[in-house]
Amino acid sequence: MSRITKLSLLVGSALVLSGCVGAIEGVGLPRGDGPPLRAIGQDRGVDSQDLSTLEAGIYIDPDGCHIWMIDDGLEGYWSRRRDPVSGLPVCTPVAPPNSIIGNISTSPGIRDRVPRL
Amino acid sequence: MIRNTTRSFMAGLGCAALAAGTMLASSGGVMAQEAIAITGTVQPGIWVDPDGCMHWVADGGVEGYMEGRVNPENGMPVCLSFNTCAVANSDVLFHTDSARLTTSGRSQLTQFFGSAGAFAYAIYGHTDSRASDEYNISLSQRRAASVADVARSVGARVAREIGYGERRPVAENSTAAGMQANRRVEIVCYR
Repeated sequence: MSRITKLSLLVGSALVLSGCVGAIEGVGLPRGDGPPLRAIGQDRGVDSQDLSTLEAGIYIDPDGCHIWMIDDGLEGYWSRRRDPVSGLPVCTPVAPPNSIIGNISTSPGIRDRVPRL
Repeated sequence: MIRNTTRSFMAGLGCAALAAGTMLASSGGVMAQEAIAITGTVQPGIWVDPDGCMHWVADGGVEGYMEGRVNPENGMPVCLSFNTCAVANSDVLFHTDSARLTTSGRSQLTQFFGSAGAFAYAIYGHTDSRASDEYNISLSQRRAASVADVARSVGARVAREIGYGERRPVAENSTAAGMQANRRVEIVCYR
């Protein structure tokens, strides 16, 4: 196969893929004349929902501190747990570092594969 | 009280955001410095974690973004008040100007820590603004320690015990009622 054919195949499959993802996840956000809207507070994909309804588990980071972790199908979210009164991180040893506790998966509809080293 | 404060703060933040938006929109002539090119926008939602604290969240298609919402003044997380497990008034818990628990205070705390069922507890002592800052820090620390001792005595795990003295008031110290509200011990449950 010539280099040009390979290249066009590559580009073509990339386009097909991105179109595919667009259809699944609704990437094409509305744009007016202003700067593009990059992200919104809703998941408009097949697993569509308002992001306020996400359910989180807890990931224990390597320092032993808690991070809210959410697997929402294609998207993943992480945000640190902080004590509502003092603002300090919450680092109680509920589990060893790098453990996940609770259910992090809001929409189990999309399975994904974690890259292995 | 806490709930009201949070609400009015949120309303204030909304106004600030609006004002900032207006400023940016009219950046052409108003700003003395070089205009900043806006390359994109985000309309985030708010996700409230199980402790009641807010996080900005946005879905960019196949990317997801999230970050804790903070108070621009002091960097504190912005939280609804539903996970302060207990706020106990110090007048009930302690003898005046002392970290020694009253009989009823001790029994209330014993009952609380025996039934709350959290994995661990954070205990924060506060005073009103009478006496010196240094004295109040010390008194509130000793009071937090007294409460923590009760927790440990019933087998509860104490994650932290801190005395903030008069530095984190929830009410004005100009009235008796305000001062009484400020004399408190807050207990946060880590579930």
